[in-house]
Amino acid sequence: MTATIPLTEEALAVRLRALEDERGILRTLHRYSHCMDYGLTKEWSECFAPDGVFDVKDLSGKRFHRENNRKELAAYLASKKVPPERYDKHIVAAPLIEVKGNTATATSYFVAIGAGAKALEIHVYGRYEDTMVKTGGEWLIKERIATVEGRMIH
Amino acid sequence: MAANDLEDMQRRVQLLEDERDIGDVFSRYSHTIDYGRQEEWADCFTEDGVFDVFTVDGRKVHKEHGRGELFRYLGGKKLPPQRYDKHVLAAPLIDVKGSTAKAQSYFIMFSSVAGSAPFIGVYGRYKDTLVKEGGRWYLKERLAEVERTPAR
Repeated sequence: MTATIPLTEEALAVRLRALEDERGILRTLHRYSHCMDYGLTKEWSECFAPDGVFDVKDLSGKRFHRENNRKELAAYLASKKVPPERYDKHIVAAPLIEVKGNTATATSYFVAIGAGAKALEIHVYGRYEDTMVKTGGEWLIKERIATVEGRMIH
Repeated sequence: MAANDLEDMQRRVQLLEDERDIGDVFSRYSHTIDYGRQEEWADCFTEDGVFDVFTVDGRKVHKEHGRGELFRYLGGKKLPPQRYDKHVLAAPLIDVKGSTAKAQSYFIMFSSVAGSAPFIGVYGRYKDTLVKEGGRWYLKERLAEVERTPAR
């Protein structure tokens, strides 16, 4: 510990809060994956703020889809094939989280794994750029920009 | 700041430490299974720990009960240098309650056999029950739900 950091209860509380915020954000990122991959439509939409945005594009900027609130998000997931018909795994890696009060940004990698005709494969990967907000003690996604960098084309 | 604030902070730090330590158990589990360290892998479980592997349609793959059976199970597996596996655990959702915890996470196994091109051997979901004994977290039960393998 450096001498410039005051050893007070208040200073410890601030540092503890920072760790808890990062932990809360990570938990939302993971909960997002579980809810999406098992078709938990309502719970997945509630990983976002009520006016949360999910914007999925490729590297050229061409948009695959965009949802602008929980209702549109729930409708999007309801249109997807989910277990037991289809099992996918959305994995988040290398999260870089910056918290500023009750907002935060997070940049991370995503890899979606699924079953192809002959093998298990990486279906898509890319980067999430998230803006998060803390509401009622819980971190929610205000905007998720998903840039698809590689995609399996059958 | 009142004394109960310090107590509150201590409780919150304990929760973060417990989650970190459970994450360490998950990492230790992967390293020891992938490099065939039988005793250390069995030691990730409690003495009576259960490892139950089954498919999503309910077919039993294998089940071990107790460290002795766990030790023998890993002894029967192909290991480095014949086969290199990587059990990658992702998206852990850990809920600690005192000295017990529940966790749900993904597993994906990357493999290469006898120098083959790498492939995804299996993926699915772990549902774990953990207990803290003597200040250390152990798997009391690991249910491994296999969702997909290349043959399926």
